[in-house]
Amino acid sequence: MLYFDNAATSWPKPEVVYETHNRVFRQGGNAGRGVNQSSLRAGRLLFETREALCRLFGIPDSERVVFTQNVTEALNVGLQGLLQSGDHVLTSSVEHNAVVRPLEYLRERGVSYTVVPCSREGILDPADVESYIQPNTKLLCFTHASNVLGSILPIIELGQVAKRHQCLFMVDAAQSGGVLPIQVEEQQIDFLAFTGHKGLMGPQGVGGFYAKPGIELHSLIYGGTGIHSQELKQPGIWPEGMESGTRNIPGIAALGAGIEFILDEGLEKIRQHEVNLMTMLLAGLRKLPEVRILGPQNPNRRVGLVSCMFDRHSPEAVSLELDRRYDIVTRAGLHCAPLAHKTAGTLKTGALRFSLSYFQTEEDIQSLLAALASVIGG
Amino acid sequence: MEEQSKIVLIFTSVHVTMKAEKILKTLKWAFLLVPVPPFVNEGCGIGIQIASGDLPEVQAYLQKNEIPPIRVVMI
Ligand SMILES: Cc1ncc(COP(=O)(O)O)c(C=O)c1O
Repeated sequence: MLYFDNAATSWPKPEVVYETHNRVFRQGGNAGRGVNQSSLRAGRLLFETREALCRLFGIPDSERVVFTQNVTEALNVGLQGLLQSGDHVLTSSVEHNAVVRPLEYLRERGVSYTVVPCSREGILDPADVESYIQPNTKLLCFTHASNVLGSILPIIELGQVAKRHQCLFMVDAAQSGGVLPIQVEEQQIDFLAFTGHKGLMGPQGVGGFYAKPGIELHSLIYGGTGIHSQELKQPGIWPEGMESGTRNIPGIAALGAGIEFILDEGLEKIRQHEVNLMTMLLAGLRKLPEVRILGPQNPNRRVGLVSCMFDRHSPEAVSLELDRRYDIVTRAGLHCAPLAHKTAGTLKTGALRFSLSYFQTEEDIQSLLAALASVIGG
Repeated sequence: MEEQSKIVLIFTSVHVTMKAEKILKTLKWAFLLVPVPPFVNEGCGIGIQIASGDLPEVQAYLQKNEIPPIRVVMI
């Protein structure tokens, strides 16, 4: 199988991720539940993954790293926990539903939001964003990179706009974590939401967030935290007070192994490999007749994914054909991001997305291009 | 350890306890992670037990590393 759906979930993972998951799952133990050797061992594993995330994202204090199931849950905790009636939010026209839907529900609680338009390629101008600031704008919430157009949003400038207007700055790092440099302090990010199973090379079912010290948040889920059990309400203590219920300990440990792998390889090397593959893929796609590439043409302005349209074929038909006939996995449709498709003008049709991995080679790209040529040529 | 030497350091969360443990592991003082009974209303239920003679030095060290215990109890 050739797997080109890494933006949905990356595959394969580094060997050490599988090994760690297997070992920790077999060891057992529930973090923070009692003081026995198994529980302590599990607790140490959570601690170590938090510390690894701090090293990757330049987070000053691992106490402020909270584990959730995925970035969707993390964004929900952030948006629902921070926003109150009367607050206004700015976001972009390439956001995933993980941002848009919580905001839409928050409207019922008196929160308003404005979608700042990106260009057709998914490029966002920070000056435009600034022009939409209102006196009650509390939060700027932006994805770091579009999961449809691949475009990278200018998060340094967006952080500056947020700070100039005393707004909080939230970033959805689903498509950039483990590939693009993220340093929360330099980039003035107050709330960083990440998912473990894409660029961070961990398993599914693990994600989380960093919230800057001083940011008050209430948890969305109430229950056992292992600490302050005598109290009827959630303890306001981080990170445990934000983590009710048993965490996915094997998954979090395996995510830690994924992050260590990334740190050992180096972000620059990982990103360079992605840019090289992307350059080759874009050049190959341009040579094919009737392919229209969505998003920025410059590979340096995008993450490792490319969506495209065909003059005479539907994205679903091409995806199906690649899967059945060539054993190549891709994804057609709206990719849970209708706003991004509306921006690109592909809301009615959707598009076909190819997304890359650090473990792919130039030969893999050539095989994909050859298969695609025969599917759309035939 | 003798009964009177059971000094236990209590921290706000399991997380901070793990942080303190990691730091203490690299140093000379002997310590043990122990359960803290519920009548101690603070902390996370895990304590770090040390020898009473080491208390001033350990406490000063943790203070310096910005992870001071929120309480010191004798159990
Ligand atoms: C930009 C963006 N945000 C959020 C998500 C949701 O990720 P998850 O399903 O891990 O919560 C995705 C992944 O599809 C994404 O690409």
